[in-house]
Amino acid sequence: MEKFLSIPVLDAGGTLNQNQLVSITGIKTIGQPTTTTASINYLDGEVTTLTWPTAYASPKLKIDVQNAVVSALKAGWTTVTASYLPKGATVSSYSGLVVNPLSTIAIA
Amino acid sequence: MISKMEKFINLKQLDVVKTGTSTADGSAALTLTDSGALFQQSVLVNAIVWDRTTNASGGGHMYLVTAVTSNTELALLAIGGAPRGGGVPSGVSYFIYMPEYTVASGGVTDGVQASGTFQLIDTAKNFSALGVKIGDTAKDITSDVLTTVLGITTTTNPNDTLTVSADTFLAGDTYIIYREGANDFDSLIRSSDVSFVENTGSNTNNSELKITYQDKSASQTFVTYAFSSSAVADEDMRNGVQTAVVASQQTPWPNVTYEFPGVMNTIVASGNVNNGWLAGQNFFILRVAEATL
Repeated sequence: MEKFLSIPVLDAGGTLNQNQLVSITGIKTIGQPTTTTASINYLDGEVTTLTWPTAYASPKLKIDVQNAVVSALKAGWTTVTASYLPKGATVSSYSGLVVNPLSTIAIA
Repeated sequence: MISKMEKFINLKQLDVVKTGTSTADGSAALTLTDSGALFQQSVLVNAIVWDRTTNASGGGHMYLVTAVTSNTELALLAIGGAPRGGGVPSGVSYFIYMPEYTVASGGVTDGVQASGTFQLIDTAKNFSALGVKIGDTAKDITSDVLTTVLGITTTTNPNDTLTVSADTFLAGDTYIIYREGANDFDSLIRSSDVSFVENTGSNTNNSELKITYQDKSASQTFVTYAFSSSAVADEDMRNGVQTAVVASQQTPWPNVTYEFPGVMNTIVASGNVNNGWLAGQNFFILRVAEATL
């Protein structure tokens, strides 16, 4: 079964954000290389790096992502995408927009 | 359709509570010296020190803290399989872990308790924000007195004062606040698609496991652990992880994670050194990584 986290990330314009899907199938481990990044390490050696706009001491980001992944994998099979509001991000009650989304999501 | 479930083992990984670089040669004295460390405010006996630089290809050297000698020096006991170290040389990066206690705060008091109260005052701290809890132990290191935290109040700055159970803290006393229980966190490693679990061959002191997935050398996870006995060629941790891999696969959905139950070191014998602390039978996870040390 394929599963994804749907994560708000800053768009190319640099002011608004949109959601991007990140696979949570085939994860080996989740790490926190720096105070602003969490890494999702896959079986094939690929790594997705999530970058936060604010620093958090290790292992806070790692645990935040781990919890989101486990929660999504526990959901029923029809829940292919699970919304993940990254640590520190909030949803504005006024505009409905996500405040403090991830800065970038990159895979390498 | 064949569908494979994603499964993980949840390891309790010890957090790195302190890092630094040694400033004097303790390699013949079983000591770690760091002139800027403030060890008394952050480290307790039975902490684990890992020198990853010396004997790096073999897994480094690990030690137990047997005494916090001063703010700048720790007395050590070499642990794990051979070759064990003789102390931390000068100029070496070190990492410290706390397997028995969690330190919430530490410092030097700078206030005088109000009349009729027993207080610890440090106006530079917000004890609530630091996670200090009622019931924590507040040790007056200067007077060598243990007290219990009974409440958090404000003297000058928000939440800068602890009400404690004994009259001991004077302005200028060094203190440390801690509670029982390891300073650790949940660390998931994949238990699906495992091909092989083995002790890393290059790791001569038997402190690292290599988990290979899908029979690919490019798809591996490495787990570093400490154990207190000096038993040679100890493979109990490998056996424990293997058992956990099987057990996690046997649990039904939606149990995505399997709590690693811990491992007992079965080959500790009276002839092994370092079998006094926790009977030499406990293992502690220090590192989970995508590459060997």
